[in-house]
Amino acid sequence: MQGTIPYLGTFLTDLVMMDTAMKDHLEEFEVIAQIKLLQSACNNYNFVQDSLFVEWLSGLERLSEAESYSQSCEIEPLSESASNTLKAKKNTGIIKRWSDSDVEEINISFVSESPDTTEKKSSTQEIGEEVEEGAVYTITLRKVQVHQAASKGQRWLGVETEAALSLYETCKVRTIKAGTLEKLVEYLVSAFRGNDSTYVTIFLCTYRSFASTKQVLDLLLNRYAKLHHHSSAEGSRLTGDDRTELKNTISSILGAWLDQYSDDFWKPPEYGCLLQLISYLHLNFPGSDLERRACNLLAQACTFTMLEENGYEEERPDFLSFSQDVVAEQFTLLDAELFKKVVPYQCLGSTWSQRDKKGKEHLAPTIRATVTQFNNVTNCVISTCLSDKTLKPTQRAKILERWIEVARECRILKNFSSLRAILSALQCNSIHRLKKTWDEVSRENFRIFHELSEIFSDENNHSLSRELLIKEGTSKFATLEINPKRAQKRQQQQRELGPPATTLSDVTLPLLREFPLSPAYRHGDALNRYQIAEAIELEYIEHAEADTFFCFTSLMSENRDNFIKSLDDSQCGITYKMESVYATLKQKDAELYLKLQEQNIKPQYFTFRWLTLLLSQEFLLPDVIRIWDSLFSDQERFDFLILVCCAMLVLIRDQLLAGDFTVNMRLLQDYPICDVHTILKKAKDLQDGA
Amino acid sequence: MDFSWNYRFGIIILGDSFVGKSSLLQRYTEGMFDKSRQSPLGIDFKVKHLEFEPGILIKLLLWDTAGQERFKSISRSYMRNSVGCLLVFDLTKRQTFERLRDWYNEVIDYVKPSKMVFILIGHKCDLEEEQEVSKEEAERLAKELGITHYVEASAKDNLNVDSAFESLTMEIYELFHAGRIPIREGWYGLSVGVPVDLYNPDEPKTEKSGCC
Repeated sequence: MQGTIPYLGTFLTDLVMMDTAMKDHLEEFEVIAQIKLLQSACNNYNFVQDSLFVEWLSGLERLSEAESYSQSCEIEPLSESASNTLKAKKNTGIIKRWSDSDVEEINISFVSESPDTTEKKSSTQEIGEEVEEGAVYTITLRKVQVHQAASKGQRWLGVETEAALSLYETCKVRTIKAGTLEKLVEYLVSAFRGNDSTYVTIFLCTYRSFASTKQVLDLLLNRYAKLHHHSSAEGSRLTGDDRTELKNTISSILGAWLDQYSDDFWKPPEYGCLLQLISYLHLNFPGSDLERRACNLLAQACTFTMLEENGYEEERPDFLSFSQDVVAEQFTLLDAELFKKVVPYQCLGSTWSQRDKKGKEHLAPTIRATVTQFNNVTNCVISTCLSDKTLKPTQRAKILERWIEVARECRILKNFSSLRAILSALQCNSIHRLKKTWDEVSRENFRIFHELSEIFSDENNHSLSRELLIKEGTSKFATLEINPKRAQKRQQQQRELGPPATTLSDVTLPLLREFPLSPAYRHGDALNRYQIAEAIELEYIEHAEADTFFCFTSLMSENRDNFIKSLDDSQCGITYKMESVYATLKQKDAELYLKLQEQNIKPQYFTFRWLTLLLSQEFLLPDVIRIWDSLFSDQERFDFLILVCCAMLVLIRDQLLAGDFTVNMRLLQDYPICDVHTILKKAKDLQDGA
Repeated sequence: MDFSWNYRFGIIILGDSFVGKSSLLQRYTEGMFDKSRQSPLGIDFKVKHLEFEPGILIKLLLWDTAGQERFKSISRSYMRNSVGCLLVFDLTKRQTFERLRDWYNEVIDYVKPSKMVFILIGHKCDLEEEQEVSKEEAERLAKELGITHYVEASAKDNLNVDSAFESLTMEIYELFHAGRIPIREGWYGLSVGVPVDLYNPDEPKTEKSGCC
């Protein structure tokens, strides 16, 4: 049995957009409901942890982005054209002052999907640049609101007033565009003082491409964050207020860093940066939460080192020694655990879009965890491909191919999160540029790589990946099997299992949870059920309505033809379905069919209810769920229902053959058998032509 | 097996949604009233034996239909197999009264040329204050449509429920004996079972299905 792990990013983007657009909240409900549905489906994954792989993964030497790029350049040196671009950059005239790195000018682009930035952009006008020693600033005119806009709560209530939005002032704003590392770090400190709050986030996110953690930390702690030791002239000029402000700023920056990129400090075996940070914190922020967090990290590091040292006694296994199945399954295991823990409301635009704001760093930890795992996978791919410089292109191509195979396995396991992580790693510049290596990758694997990449193409608002998610989130097996042999094997296994297994399928699980009070499900009563869902257990209240609504909609979307009057006599209408119960019965048990005909017992008399309500009025709820599980897991979906109805008739054939009209009508109105397994087995037999 | 009946009448209950058709039937067959009853879907089928004259057992096959417009095409198949019809409206909802003529015409049209015996029932007479239809008015309509009986009933307070069903049964029985209800091949509205004079509950005879 299988689940689906989505790439959460698509949902997050959607929810942020919805929140911004302030549309009907049903849309948000639907997305949240879909997330929850997929979460419950994740319980279907059933993998066991492979200790060898876990050990290998945790002991893997991780390359930072900068390291992997330089490694990549050593493996295949820059081509002519590439070095030209670099030279062109040098000509812009920024003086090399401090950094030892190759990159002299660092451009930081402010690309952020957060709606706040978008808003700012729209009211911002770039008027020029200012060049200072070591830095280029963009000067912009920005409209700044004098009066606060209507609060979010007000907007929800629709009381937004035009007057509240109308007062603006224009300010001149200086934003750093490019600069030496020194200037960039300096600006980090000043950015907090009012004019550019997103800068810190962007810097922390991107600095690895031009500097090491140690460089930034050294600069930050020794030069700009000196609070006590006034050795420099600058420091001694600080007034008391300035110092408090600086202290808060530093605390916020380090807090955000530790919170979002604690991996930066995870550099075994010395953990130099972490130790440096701890000693700084101990001196300047004794007893603070920040210090505690850094120490926790160190404690983890110690445990880890111990484990690792023990591990070194045996020879470390090679990546290629793990089969693609094992790698994909182990990633899926990790992803599923984290995805199940995601608290859906944290994905809501109103929460998630705030994540980078000052003081909101603690928001959405469950989502951050999935992001970290995503980055870990990406990093793992890059590191395995690049850490050994001595490999020949053919050997490295083997590793690439293996990762493509792992990606394909992830696709089959419907783990879209790791699939995307692996693909983005393979597409990243450091790996993408290894032309000689890619030349050695087999044509077939290259084709698969491209096919898989297309899943995440951003054409039509990621329509392909969405479509897949919707299609496969509610079915048990990938319909678009890339590996036909495996698909066959799976189908074979499914067949051998006989009647669909007892695991609850994706859709039924939330139904079971949300409908516990209703003895049966009746058409025309959706609102009632809606209210029931609202009233149940406290912890579900928040999501029950969305869940119920989603389940009801999904169910009805497949079942609606039965309720459309104009379709009654068409091939998909209810009359046709009722007739087909008798038509099937005629084939399977002619004697019984003739008896019912003779007694003038029309299919309308009982199959109408059986079919329209999917038998929910005939059995107790747990049994109904069991039947629905079989219905939903059948590819033909409601065709199996016809067979189930037939099976119900055949199973009481002796009674029906002996009974008169009244007796039989009563039997059919109040069906006597309550063991649904017998019924389902019979239906399966009928399906197989027995 | 129960073949020991002399006559079998198919009875259908018709009227708009929420006039209380199912409640009437439940009160009559089970002697209870369930306030929270939900709308039935498709059809409900009940049986009631009635011995209103010693030695004559009449079996009533009672069809409860879903009043929703949507299911009319389904309920038609039951109309064909009925001889009696309880036409129900809600005394507190005038529009349900005004729809009666449509219901009546539809049934007549549909069962033609078979006979259908009607009784008119003004339901929920317990809610006296809210009544929107007067007795005179209802009786006038009954007369106009050629319906012999008009009864105001309440399933909730068990007022006139049994007598409504019994009056209808009686009328059908009398009409049949007067030769006013012809029995045709392929019509199941009224069947004759064990002949009255040979009636013996211990030794049931098989029924000739469909006609006499």
